[in-house]
Amino acid sequence: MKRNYWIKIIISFVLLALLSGCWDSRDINYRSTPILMGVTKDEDLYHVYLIIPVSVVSEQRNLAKVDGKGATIVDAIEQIKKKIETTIDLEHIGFVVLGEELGREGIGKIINTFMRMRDMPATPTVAFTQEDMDSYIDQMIETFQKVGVPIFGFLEKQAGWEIYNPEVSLWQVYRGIHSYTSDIAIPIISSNENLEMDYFGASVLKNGKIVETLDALEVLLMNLLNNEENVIKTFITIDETTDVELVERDVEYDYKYNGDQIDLTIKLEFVMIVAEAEDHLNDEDIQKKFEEKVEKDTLQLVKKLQDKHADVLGISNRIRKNYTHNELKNFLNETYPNINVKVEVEAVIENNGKIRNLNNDDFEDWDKQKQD
Amino acid sequence: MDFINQIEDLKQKNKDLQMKSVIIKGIPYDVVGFESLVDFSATWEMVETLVRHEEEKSSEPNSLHSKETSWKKMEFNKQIKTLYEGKVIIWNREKEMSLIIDPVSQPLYRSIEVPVNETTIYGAKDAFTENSQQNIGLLRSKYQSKDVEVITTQHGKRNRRFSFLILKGTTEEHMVEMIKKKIEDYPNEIKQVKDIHVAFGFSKFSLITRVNSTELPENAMEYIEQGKIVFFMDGYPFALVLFNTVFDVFKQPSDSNYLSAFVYSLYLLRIVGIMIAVLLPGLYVALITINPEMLKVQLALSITESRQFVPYPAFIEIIIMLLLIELITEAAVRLPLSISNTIGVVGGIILGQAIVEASLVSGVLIIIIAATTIANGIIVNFENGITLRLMKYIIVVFSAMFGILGHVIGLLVLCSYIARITSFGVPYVRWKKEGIQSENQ
Repeated sequence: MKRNYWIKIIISFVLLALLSGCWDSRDINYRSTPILMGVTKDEDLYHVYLIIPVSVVSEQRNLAKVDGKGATIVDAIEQIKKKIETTIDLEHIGFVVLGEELGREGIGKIINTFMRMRDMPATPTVAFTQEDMDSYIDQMIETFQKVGVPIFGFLEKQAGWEIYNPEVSLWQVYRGIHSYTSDIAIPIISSNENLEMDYFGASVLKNGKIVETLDALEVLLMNLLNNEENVIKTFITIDETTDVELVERDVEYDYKYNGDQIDLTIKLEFVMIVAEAEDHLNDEDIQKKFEEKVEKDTLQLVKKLQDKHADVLGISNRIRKNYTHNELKNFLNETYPNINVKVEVEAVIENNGKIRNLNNDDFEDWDKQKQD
Repeated sequence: MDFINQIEDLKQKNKDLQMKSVIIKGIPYDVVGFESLVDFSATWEMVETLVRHEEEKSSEPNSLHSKETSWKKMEFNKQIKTLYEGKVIIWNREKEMSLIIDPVSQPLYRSIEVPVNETTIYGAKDAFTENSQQNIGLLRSKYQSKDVEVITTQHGKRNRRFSFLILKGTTEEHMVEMIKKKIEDYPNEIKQVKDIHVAFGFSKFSLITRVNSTELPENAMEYIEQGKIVFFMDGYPFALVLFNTVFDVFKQPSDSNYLSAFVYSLYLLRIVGIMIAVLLPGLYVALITINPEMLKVQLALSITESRQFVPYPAFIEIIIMLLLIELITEAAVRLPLSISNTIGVVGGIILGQAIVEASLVSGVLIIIIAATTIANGIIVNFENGITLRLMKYIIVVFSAMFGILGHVIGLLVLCSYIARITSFGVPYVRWKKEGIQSENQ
């Protein structure tokens, strides 16, 4: 009995060791972990670039560029794998840059491939670039060597882009392409002489193709409407002389059905701080100017998107539950453009900058109270 | 053969046996005892007064005399046996009767000292010694009540004494009886604690000590009050505590001398320490070899950098390093205190530095090993620390085979192993604070 028991244990341990296949795994120093992938098309062939951090002991961390061409993306990656000795581990890719011309042709297939690939995470940030990919990547590496850290900054969620940037993940793009009721805007970025990254705005995708481009302010409004969490340190320029900083914002969508017609009122509430203003303006002026400007711009943005039948603001998503599956299929083309949108903005100035402003009536009020 | 001749015979074989003659009030007496056990010069006076006193008293009624300290005729073998226990026989040649007395013994036992293995900052500073009578005395002085009872038994050729402490109303007495019987029935000699394990019927290859040792009377008393069974083995300077539980790994009674808030954070710290000691090496292997994608990219790059020229897989690397640390630890225990410090410096600092510079192991691993070794020291009892030291290897092996998944499987295996351990029907993992009574029939 006793002997039998030990034999069982030994056999199970041998099986455990054999089944594990642990001799096939490679240690971390035999793996390359690219952090950025660039994809363009080069005469029918996909051209894939990878930026791989190269670390040599006692030297500064460096970046290396590798590229490969292939009929498909996987083929191109295979070409890269042939070039380097270490295993390529796509798990750490934090950033996917696509050439803008791909966006015009449609990126649906590429995104599908990425989602299918098992060693590619669904979380990297996706962006378009209008520049030549090769020089863009070179520029990135050069800036890194000059400045140091920046490229890793994109992998840090906290240090990410500000509200001007519609930061989107791969899975969000996939969702945007395949959802009946929502689309996605992907940021356009570029390398720059001074700044390592510069954004021009965002491209609105519909069914994987670029249909419209938004500028920086429109992207900001989009983020404000989309309930992006962080509004702190967001500055909005009202005109050449006036600037406010947002402290808090609240968005409410109010849908009303009038027969076939849908009336939507978007109520925006802001709490803000005056950051820069001419002396002759008092709080109410600034407030009024701000309200007018935001209302106008928002309305304009909504109209612009409705014309292109693309919904990146989530307007249709919020009433999606009221429609059947069949109705949703053509929702963006039929119902969405006909929604009557009204924007109401309400702004409160919390603080006008802690400077003595003679035009403000603070002291008069105080005097009046005293007299009473 | 009369008594004197027999003693003379014995004297031939044992050179330390002394027989001295003295004449008190005209009656010759012989005082017999082992010189190595008895301090004769101090005993002498005692013998004289005792004998004189006895002579006077002998006219008084017999009932006043206790059984043991009275003149009587005894079998020779019985008398000899008492000699070996360190007593002295006073032989009356005329009446051919003997008196057995407890003499002043040689200072064979060390005095009560400060604990060496279990140091406390705030708490009683006395520690058990090799003399179990002294140990029982220490406990009695801490619990001055008639509720404390002591049962003893002797076992084997060595005549080794086992003393069990019973606290009336708390200790399960039939349990003590059963354990006592197990010791009495054990056919072989009980030499070390391992033999007690075997006598109790526990597996020799168990990873967990069922019989805990503690050096502090304060802790022992606390354990008795919790319903655990505390007993002493003569010559073993620790109290043996039966029913080691999982809580004893991170709790010790003298903790309660601190602020409560601090005590709870201390428990938390110890639990974290246990986690680090058991899991960290395995986690390293799993993350480096099989699942690097779980690391943050910056961390992955730092580790890659530090592992740049390491020629073998992480599993071999960590085994080498763990082995080295075990060697250092063991060497430090074996060597005299003054030299063991040198071992610490040479092993820890110089070797650690050199091995990284020679690219035999990565710098990150040194940190991991250091953290593991330090965390292992936070565990309350040294025996529990050994348990965790062994468990860590199981986790490392599983992690090397299946990565993070194996890490979790290894933990699961250990948890199920711990969960099935019982001693005399009392589970090792017990939530109940108070004791053993109700759970065990």
